[in-house]
Order: sequence, then C-alpha cells, then structure tokens
Amino acid sequence: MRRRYACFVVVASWMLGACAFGLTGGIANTLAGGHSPAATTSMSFTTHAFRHGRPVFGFRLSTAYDHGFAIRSGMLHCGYDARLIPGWLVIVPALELGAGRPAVESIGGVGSYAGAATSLRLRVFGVNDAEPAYNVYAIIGEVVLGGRFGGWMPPETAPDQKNVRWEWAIEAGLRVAVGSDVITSAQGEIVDTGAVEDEDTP
Amino acid sequence: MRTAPLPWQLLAASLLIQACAAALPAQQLPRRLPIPTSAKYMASVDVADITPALHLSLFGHGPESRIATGVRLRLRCEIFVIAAEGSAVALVPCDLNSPSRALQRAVSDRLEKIGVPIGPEALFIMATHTHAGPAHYHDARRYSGTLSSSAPGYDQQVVDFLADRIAGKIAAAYGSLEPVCLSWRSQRLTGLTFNRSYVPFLANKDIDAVTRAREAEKTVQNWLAPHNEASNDPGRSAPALRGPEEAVDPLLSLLRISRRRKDDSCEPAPIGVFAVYGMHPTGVPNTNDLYHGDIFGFAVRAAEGRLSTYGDRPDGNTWASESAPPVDERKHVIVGLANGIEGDVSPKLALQSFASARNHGLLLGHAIEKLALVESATANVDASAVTIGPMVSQGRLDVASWDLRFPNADVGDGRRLCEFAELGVAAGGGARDGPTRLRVLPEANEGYRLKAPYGCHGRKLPLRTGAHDDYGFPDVAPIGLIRVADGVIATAPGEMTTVVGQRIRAAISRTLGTSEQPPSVAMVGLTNQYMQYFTTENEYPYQYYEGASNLYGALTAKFLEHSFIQLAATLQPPSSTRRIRLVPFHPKPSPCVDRWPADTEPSDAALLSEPKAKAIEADETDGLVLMLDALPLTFTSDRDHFSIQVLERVKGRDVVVDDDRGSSIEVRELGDKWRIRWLPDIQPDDARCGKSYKLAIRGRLELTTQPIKLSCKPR
Repeated sequence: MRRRYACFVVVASWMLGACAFGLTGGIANTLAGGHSPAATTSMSFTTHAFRHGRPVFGFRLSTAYDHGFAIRSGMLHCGYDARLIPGWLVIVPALELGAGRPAVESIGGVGSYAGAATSLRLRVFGVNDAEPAYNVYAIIGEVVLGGRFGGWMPPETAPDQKNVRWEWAIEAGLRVAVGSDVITSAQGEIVDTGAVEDEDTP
Repeated sequence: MRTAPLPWQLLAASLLIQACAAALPAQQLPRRLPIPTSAKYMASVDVADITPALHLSLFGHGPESRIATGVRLRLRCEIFVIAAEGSAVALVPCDLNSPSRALQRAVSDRLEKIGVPIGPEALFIMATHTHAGPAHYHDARRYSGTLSSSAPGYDQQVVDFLADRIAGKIAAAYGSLEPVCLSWRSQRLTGLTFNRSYVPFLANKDIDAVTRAREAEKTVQNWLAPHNEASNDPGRSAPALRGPEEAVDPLLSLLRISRRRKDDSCEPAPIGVFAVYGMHPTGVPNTNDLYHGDIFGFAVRAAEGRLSTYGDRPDGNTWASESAPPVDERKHVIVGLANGIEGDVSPKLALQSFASARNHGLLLGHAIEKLALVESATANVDASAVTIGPMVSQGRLDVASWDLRFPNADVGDGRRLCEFAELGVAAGGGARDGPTRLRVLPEANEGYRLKAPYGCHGRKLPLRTGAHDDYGFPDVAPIGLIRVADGVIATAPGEMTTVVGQRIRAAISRTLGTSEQPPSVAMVGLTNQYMQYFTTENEYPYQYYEGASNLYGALTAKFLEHSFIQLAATLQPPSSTRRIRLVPFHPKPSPCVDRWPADTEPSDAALLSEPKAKAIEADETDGLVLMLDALPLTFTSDRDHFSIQVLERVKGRDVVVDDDRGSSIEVRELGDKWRIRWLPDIQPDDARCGKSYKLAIRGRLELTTQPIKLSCKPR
C-alpha cells in the first residue's frame, strides 16, 4: 500500500512538475473600452511558472463598475512567463480567447473575443524563486502592470454582426501566487559515490 | 592527613537548599550560597525523573515522531555537581533528544532564585539524543514548526516542568556536596557502532581514522556488505573491524567519583560515574510511541544495577543488573552517560527494536561497569587496553564557557560563516536509522545536492516552508571547557562527525599542552543548545544527512575548532581567570501551544469511593501483563502518585524485586484501556522462570494482582 502511495506521489509530481504549477489570484483595476474607456475590474486565475520560465494558462473574468459588478466577459488565457530578472521581474505575453460583452459597448448579446495581452510582474514580497531552495510551499506577491488589445465579434443575431468592435485595456493590480517545489523539476541530483571537486570547498 | 571539616556555611545551606528545592518555584532568596574554596574536590550525584505527562509529541524523527501514549523507560537526568577552588559546575546528561537554550536558561534562572551559585556558564545540560523524549521545549522556531514533529509547537509548561525537575535536583545535590576522589579512565570500545556516512568520511584527508578505515578495508574485503548487523562481540580486535566500523571515535571515557574518607583515602566503590561515549542511541524504530531513553537508557540502568550491587550480588543473580535501584540508597551508584562524537555514528543493529536496544544497552552498560571497577592500568577490559588516570582528591576545577554567535562569524582565517542558517532538503528524509516518509521525494534522500555550488551554502539545497525565517534556527550557542582532575570535558552545541570531533580534541590538547592520549579530553556534543550537525569542509559537499544538517555552511566545524582553541587558551597559565562570554537571551518561540494535559486527577475521596479498576492478569511469552479497563489516575511523573512494582513472596511477605525505575516495566495507554507489562530480560536457565510474582500499582491508588507464574514460554 505504501509503495503504491509512493508511486502515485512520484508520478503525480512528475506530471505536474513538467509544466510547473502555482495558483494565482489577482485583481486589477482596468481602463477598458474603445473610444470612451471606462473603469472595470478583472480577476484572473492562472498557473504560475515557479522557478522556470514556462507556458502558463488560466482564465480571467471582467466586470464594469457601473454595471453592479456583473460579469461582462470571461477569457481563457494562454501565455508564457518570461523571466526578465529571475526572482523579481517577469513579462508575460499571452493570447486570450473569450466570450461575453465589451466593457462599455453593447453588442446585442454574447459575443466572442480574441486578443493579445502582455503583463509585467514585479515581486514585492514572498519567496525569491531564483534562489535554489526546496520550498514545501512558497507564497509570492507581485505588482502587475498589463495591457491588452483584441476584438469582439457580435453574435449572429446582432444587426451589425459583421462589425468587429476593437477594445483595449491597461491594467494595474496585485497578484498572489502559491507554488511548491514538491512538483517542480529537479534542482540537483543524488551523488552518493565519488569525489567532490576541490572547488566546492569555499 | 585528616580531611578538613565541611564549612559550616555549607552545612547550613544544605538544609536551606533542600527545602527550597522541594518548593520550586520559590520566592527569590536574598542570599547566594557559598562555594567551597578548598582545593579539595567536593561532589554530589543525584537523579531527576523528567518523564513528562503523556500525549506530548516525541521529538527527533521530524514528522514521523509519534504522540507519546506510554512509558517504556522513565526519562531521567543524572546530576553531577562538582566544586573546588571557588568554582562549582553541574554536568547533567538528560534523556532528551537535544538541548535547548530556553531550557538551560530556565534551569539557571531557578538556581539563581534559590541562591545556588551555578550560573549558566557552569551549567551543562547534555542531551543523550534519545528520539523518544518530549518535544515542545525548543526556543528556535524551526524546532517547533511544521515538520518538526507530529504535533508542532512550543509549550512553556513543558519547559517549566523540565526546569523545575532539573533545578530542584541540582539544588539538592549542591546541598549534599561531600568530599570525593576523582579518577579519569578510558578505553577503546569497538564493535558497537559504525560510520553511517562512510563515503563523505573517506573524503577527509590526513586523518588517522581515515587511514585506519582504509587499512581495515584491505584486511576485510567485504566492507560494502551491510555493516549494521548485530554484534555480540564488542571486544573484537581491531583487524576484524571493517572500514565503517573503524571510521568512528571508539573512546569510552569516564570520570569515576568515589567518597573520600576522613583520613583522605578513597573508598574503592564509586558513588557516581560520568561516562562519555559516541553513538546515535537509536535502537528503537521511529514507529515508537513510548517515552524511553533508548540504548543509553538501558545502558545506564545496566551499569547502575551492576555497580550498585557490586560485592553483595548473589551468585547467578545477573538479572539484578537491570532492576530498580537498591533499597539502601547509599548503595545506589549513579551513572550518567553523555553522548560524545556521534554525528555520523550509528549503532550496529540487525533490526531496530526494543530487544535490540536493550541488548546494545547491556553491552555498553557492562563495558562502563567494567571500566569503572578496573583497578589497574595494565588490565585489559574485553581485550582492549584501558587508560587510568590517578585517583585525585584535590586539583583544579576550571570552567570556561562562551556563547558563540554563528551568523557571518569569522572562522579565523578571514573567511566567514553563512549569514543565515539553512537546513538541506536531504536532511528531510532522515538518517538511515530513522528515515521519514519524505524519502519518496528524490530531494529528501541523502546525497542530493545542487548541480553547481550556489552562494555560501554551496551544494546544499535549503529546505524551507514559506519564506526564510531569520530565527528559524538558533543563531547563538555556547561551547564549554571544564578542566577537572587532569582531564578536560569539551562541550559542543550539536553533533560532531567523527573527524570534526577528533580534530577539535587534538586542537584543545595542543593548546593546553596535554597529551592527545585519552583521557585528556572527553568530547561531549548536544550541550546547552542545538545547532544540529558539524561536518568538515570535505564532508559537507556530499550533502549526506549530516552535511545537509550543517546549518551555517561548510566552515562551521572550522569556526568551532577556532573558537575552542581560543577558549582553551584562557585556561592556560598565566591566565587564571575563567573565560565567560554570555550574550543576552530573548527567545521568541513560535507557535506557542498548550499541549500539557489539564490535571484531571480525582480527589482522594473519589478514589476511595470508586470501585477498583477491573484487572485482567496474564502471563506473556516473556513477562507478565496487567490489563486495566481504566486507570483511575492520570499518568504522572511523580512516583509518589503513581508507580509500578513487581513483588515476590518471600518468607511470608511481599518483597519488591523490581519497579518502574528499572528497565523492565512498560506502561501503555490503549484507547480506554491500560496495559502494564513486566518484561524482564530472561536469560537461559533464569532462576525466575517458574516463580510467581505480583504486579502492583502504588501511589494514590493501590492495586495488586494475584500471583502470576512467570513461565518463560519459548518464543
């Protein structure tokens, strides 16, 4: 029984560790719209590339203040955590596909969205994952600055369904990530025989 | 020459201290008691029972440590108070996993309050490193935090309990100082241990022990075969030892204390023996959930039993060596066993079990007994030559103590220790004789290291939970030197690997100008604070369990050696002042918990009115058992409230032949039931087989079984 349990942990760690894992909750104040931008709020949950630059994915929900925080759109988010200054600064180019309505305009129903986004994240507290360590769990807090641009395709039933509505947004927010080395790739190796190089001695 | 009479102040102080000790914690007394100023040695020995309440977590196996549900061996501290020339020192080996500064200072504070002139600089609490003692008394947060035990947390009540017990007995011992003779002696005791981290050990250069191990490899070719089998022949000659068995510090050192008569002659029998031997006393696996002192616990009882009955032991009554102390307390020889150079040293056992621990303890205890009694330096004990120092009644008593600050410390050659302590992830899986389930992670296995050195910690991959904690591990820990009767005791706040310990011993000997031959310096680890392991620069990069547990980087042992040299220099003439550097101590333990069980003992009236517990008595394969539906008492360390006795009917009356201070009584809580067992060490043709005995509970409740026949059925 213990062996099976051990195998399960190892296999699960390997599978998840291959892409790294971390749960992110973020909230951003957004200025979004076409010709007349409005303040909105978005909340996103994405995976987190702990220790290594890796593809990330997740989703984002957006609301507009003057609509009673009703959810206006939901986006699938697929990007890449590129580490500009490991442990401190990350830039995330991403593509987004979603459904809903633009932040400001009405498009006569539920439309579809496609766009690109980029965000810049600066760690302000928590674990510096550029330092080698085996963190059973790690909490990281970041400030996020981002921008996105994309187009809304109105539903077929809309009278002007062929007119794509362009939308842009700039965002500033906070992000909290939780990571663990239990499911990240190896930082070292087991060496149980042989000599250790002399330069190891400080 | 007549012995000088005791100073009258001391006699008066004795009564005062005894009263104060009994009333701990007490009001602060306005006076400080006098210290004997004569060059004649005064000493006293005692034992403190520190078995705490049940249901605390055990400490030593990390997350594998269980919650205590019973007692196999009562936990104890042996108290050795020695005084001369205006100095007094307390040597206190304790059945604890590791020392803590919070505990040491708590004991010191209590002693100060009642006027005992033994300050923190002269108080040496030495953990035996049992992995079956309580947790919850360490001031460093990582020792009370996640993964430290199955029930993490710091409990001030545990500290208070331990400190009250220890301080009370030190005070009582101080009040009972008597003229003594002291004698150091030592021998090589091989075959009981082996080096569990042999690969890093061999990386050391220019060390005699490495040379010996390599020679042993040539003689005995199969050193790679499992070398942890049981050994019943600890006195095997050196050529038969395999490499890992040679790769240890085999020195058994002891300071024998015997009474001095009025004519200044020394009594032949000792009253106390302070012994030092290096071994991880982990004879019992980490699935254990009982308090016990493990191999060292069995060893001291075996040695005490034999020494206490020396001269009047009936022929063939060898089992008395494990039984409770003799009725005549003056015959009780107290043996304390401090742990020596044991960082990478494990016991040679085929299988971890109580039987194995007991067997190993008997071997070690009997070796202590023989060495304590041997009269001539020309004698051989178990085919190993012994060294015996002169029996002295007067001489020096120098104490030097130094609180070392480890972060960023200068190691003496311009290099510095790491700024922060880190535990390597390879330590998370435990040592080979106490593996944890974290070993399912590759990183938690010994030898796991970074592919390239990083920063101060080199190849170590730090194990962290959450963010780095500046006070996760201790940053200050004391070292100490005690020179007494031409021998030196050096205390380190952690576990020294074989080569580290031997290097420090050699450095101290060189500085003091003494011979490097034993018994000049007895190295004791695990004293007053716990900085985990000290490995050499060559061993560290391998990141075996010891290297991963070396908190402040590869240079820690170098720093320790450098500091010991500086401290030893202060003991050299013309310097006659004791070197004492203490830094203020302001612990910030966290998380604080309340694990100590509430006192729910019934009143006397309730005890009298309630029906006695329903008992089921039985004969087991190797002992007697008493099952109780319920125990109408909470388990308590106070034997006046609760104790177990074994009675034999002799000439019409019940005679106590054993009790729970010996090594044969087990008390265990089993859900709502209680099981009490008497587990004597049955020898071939044991005279006890076939006789009937009674198990008895004594204290606030009296319950005695019917006679049960000890049948000694074959297994």
